[in-house]
Amino acid sequence: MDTKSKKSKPFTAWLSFFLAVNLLAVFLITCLSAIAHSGGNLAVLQAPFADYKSTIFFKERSGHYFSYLYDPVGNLFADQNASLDYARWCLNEEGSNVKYYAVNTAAGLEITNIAGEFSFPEAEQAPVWQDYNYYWYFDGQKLQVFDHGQPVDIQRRDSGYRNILPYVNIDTANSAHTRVLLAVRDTLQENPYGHSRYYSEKQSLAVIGWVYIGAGLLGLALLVYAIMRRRDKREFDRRLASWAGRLWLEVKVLLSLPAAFLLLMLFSEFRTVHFDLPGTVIMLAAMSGLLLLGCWWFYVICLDLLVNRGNFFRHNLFNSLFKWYQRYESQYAWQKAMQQRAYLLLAAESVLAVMSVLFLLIGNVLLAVLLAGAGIYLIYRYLRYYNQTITDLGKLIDHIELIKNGDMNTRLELAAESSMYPAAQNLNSIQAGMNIAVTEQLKSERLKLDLITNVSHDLKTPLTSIISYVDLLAREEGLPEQVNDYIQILAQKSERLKNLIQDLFDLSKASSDNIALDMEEIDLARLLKQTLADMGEPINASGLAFRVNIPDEPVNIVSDGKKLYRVWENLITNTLKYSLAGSRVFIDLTVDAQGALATIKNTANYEMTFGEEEILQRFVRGDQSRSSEGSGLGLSIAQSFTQICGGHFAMKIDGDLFKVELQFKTVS
Amino acid sequence: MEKQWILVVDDDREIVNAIAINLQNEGYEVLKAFDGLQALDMISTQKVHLIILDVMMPKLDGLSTTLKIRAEKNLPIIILSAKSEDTDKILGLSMGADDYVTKPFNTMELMARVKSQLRRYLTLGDVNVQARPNLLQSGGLMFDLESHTLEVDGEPVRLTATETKIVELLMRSPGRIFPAEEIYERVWGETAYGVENTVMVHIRRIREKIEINPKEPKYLKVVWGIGYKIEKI
Repeated sequence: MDTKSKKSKPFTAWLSFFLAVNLLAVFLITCLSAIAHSGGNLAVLQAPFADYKSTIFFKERSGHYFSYLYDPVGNLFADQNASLDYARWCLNEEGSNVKYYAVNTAAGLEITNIAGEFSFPEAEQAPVWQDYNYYWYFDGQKLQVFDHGQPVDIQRRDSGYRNILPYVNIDTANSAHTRVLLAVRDTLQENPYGHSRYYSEKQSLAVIGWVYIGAGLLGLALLVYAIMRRRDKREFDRRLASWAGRLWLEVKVLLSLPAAFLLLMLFSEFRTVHFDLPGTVIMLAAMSGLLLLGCWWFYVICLDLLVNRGNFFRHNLFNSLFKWYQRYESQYAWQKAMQQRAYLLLAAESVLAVMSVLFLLIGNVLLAVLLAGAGIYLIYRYLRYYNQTITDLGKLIDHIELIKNGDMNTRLELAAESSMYPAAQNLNSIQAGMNIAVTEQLKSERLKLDLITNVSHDLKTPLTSIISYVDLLAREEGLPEQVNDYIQILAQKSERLKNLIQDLFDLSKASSDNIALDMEEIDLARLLKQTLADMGEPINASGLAFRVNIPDEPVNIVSDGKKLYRVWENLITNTLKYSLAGSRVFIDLTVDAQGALATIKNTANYEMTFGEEEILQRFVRGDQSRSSEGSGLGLSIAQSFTQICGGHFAMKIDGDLFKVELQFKTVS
Repeated sequence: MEKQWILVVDDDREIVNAIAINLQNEGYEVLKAFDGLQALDMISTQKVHLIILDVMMPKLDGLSTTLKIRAEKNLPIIILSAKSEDTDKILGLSMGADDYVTKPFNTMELMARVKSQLRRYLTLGDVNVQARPNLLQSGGLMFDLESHTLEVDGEPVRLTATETKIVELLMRSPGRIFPAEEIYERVWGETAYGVENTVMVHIRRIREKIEINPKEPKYLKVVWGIGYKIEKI
């Protein structure tokens, strides 16, 4: 209910505005026409409220009646009898409201409604009849009008007769035998045997006056209402504009041209309107209606122009065709659409060219030029669109570059009608998806890191107590021998647990890329020498023969020295642990175009019944017995650390030969 | 000799107790606190010579506590933490701690560190060592250029002639990294060829003499792939 009233509010406001303007316009048009018609006599406006007999309408009608009487007898027309009959019929319709007498003594013509003998009176004898004190009098020389028995100076401007006289076409030279007398009764009455125009005009004037006043007031009231509700009215204006906006520009132009022509015609036509109530009213109403219709049309056009601005011109047949074509195009793949567009352009251009030439040959130059113009416009549009497509394609490519470089937030905004729009939208959603994935991944990485850190802390804290109290126990004196053995085992195992936790922590951090790196230019050859020197004691103690082949020149790589030391320490420790007693261990470092290659080879002291992949899996221990100390993570750590340090880790098992290759990029 | 008071702070009571027993066995007086705020209270009310401080604690963590203590006092702080990353250590030391020990710790090592920090704090105190021109210093390391002797936290260290030369070379430019060849040429005075082993052996021996934990050296460090240096502290 509410929404309905809300919806109708703008329409009500607008309707009142519409009616107000119409009413006031008709009011003004009629008033102005009346004034114009009366030769600028403003008294005409008071006519409906003044005494009928003093109005211009009464005087004019009397003038007409007089000329009906005078014309057939005075001017001697060819169709005299018809004229006489018409005059007789017209005046007899008035009944007793008029007494008339017209005679041409030379031609022996006479029309009258006076019964019996009648001798034409002298001018001074008036009034001739009682109750008929208004009369027109022509005695063969001069036209005189008497009102209330007194002669009226009909040449005066304010007399109201000056504009009537031209109708009463008196030919004084040939009227010497013509006598005309038209007298009008003081109190006009309805004629029961005919239609008294005097009477009906008198009655209708009074009514029309009030109607006009009412119409004017109603118009004003509606106008005030419309002004008060101008917001609502404007709302409906916008609705009108949007409706009008749906019309093509061409249609609007085609309709506006005749409308403008009509308006111009009407304006000039108003001046020639014959003022003859009530026919004039209908005529005026029709003309005003047309006039208003034309005005309202332009009102709507102006609204359209104001509200829709550029769209007023953009929404034309051409553009709609293009849009329709775009919709049609969108059902095809992009590349096909582009091809079709080019083909269609060619086809349309050929048709236009042929038609243009044909029209030129026929001689219709205007149409030929129009068609040629359409062809040129089509090419212009195509080129513009093509340019736009190229630009948007460039933007798309730039955006892909942007995403590649890690920008996950900037969106690619293209116009909705661009051919690249769907692609751009897809790219945007891919980007958004990637953004979510990256964020999720970052989050899970952080969670993983937190987990590693927390678990490590939570494991280390109780272990700290265990180690501390085992240590205290170990220093306790006077314990039985076997208790000291037990304590020794506890100490060893807790120490191993400590190493295991630390290795696990390092490995987890390294494999989740959460480790801080200190990358700098280092000499791999020197690092290897340093590591071998650092581990000199266990190497010498192992009884293994190390065959080391490292160049004297520096082998510069960019890496984290500390982590790389850990790699070599683990690899050498591994070798010391699992090499056949008395066998040789080969450590080589070579440099070639691909970079630096460091290898360590040893002969296993057991049969390696597993593959390269398996051994790198965490907790897989070479001998699978899990008896010695160490975490079993040595090789995994070596692999992870090598990779985060920028190297490549490869492992080969060939019979009893165990070989690890580390590859690094060298820097000059 | 005056009693030396050591404040042990950790939210794990068993750890605090174990450390306390060990410290008392070494002859120190021990105060116990179980969070940072309690520790700050104790420092303000009692005489404390050294603090052993855990990092992850409720109420006020160890790093913030260190900052607050450092704002007022100069006493030695040993941070005891389960966080073992290099970045954690650097952060702890830059907050003003004097030493950083990771959990699980070795009791002997912790005792040695306590001892060395106390020695430094109590015997050297505020002596402005930089004013003495013939003394090279880095942290607790002090090398006397006249007598060619080295002291670690006030304790003299016996070095061989070669070791002394190496230490002097490195301590003249603390923080600078010396390749093995340069050390060899300047110490032995001979052209270096394949000397990595020789130099490393000496470095290891010096470390065993001056470092509390030679596996995690504080002063004499190997810069893997480049050379050797004495840390500038």
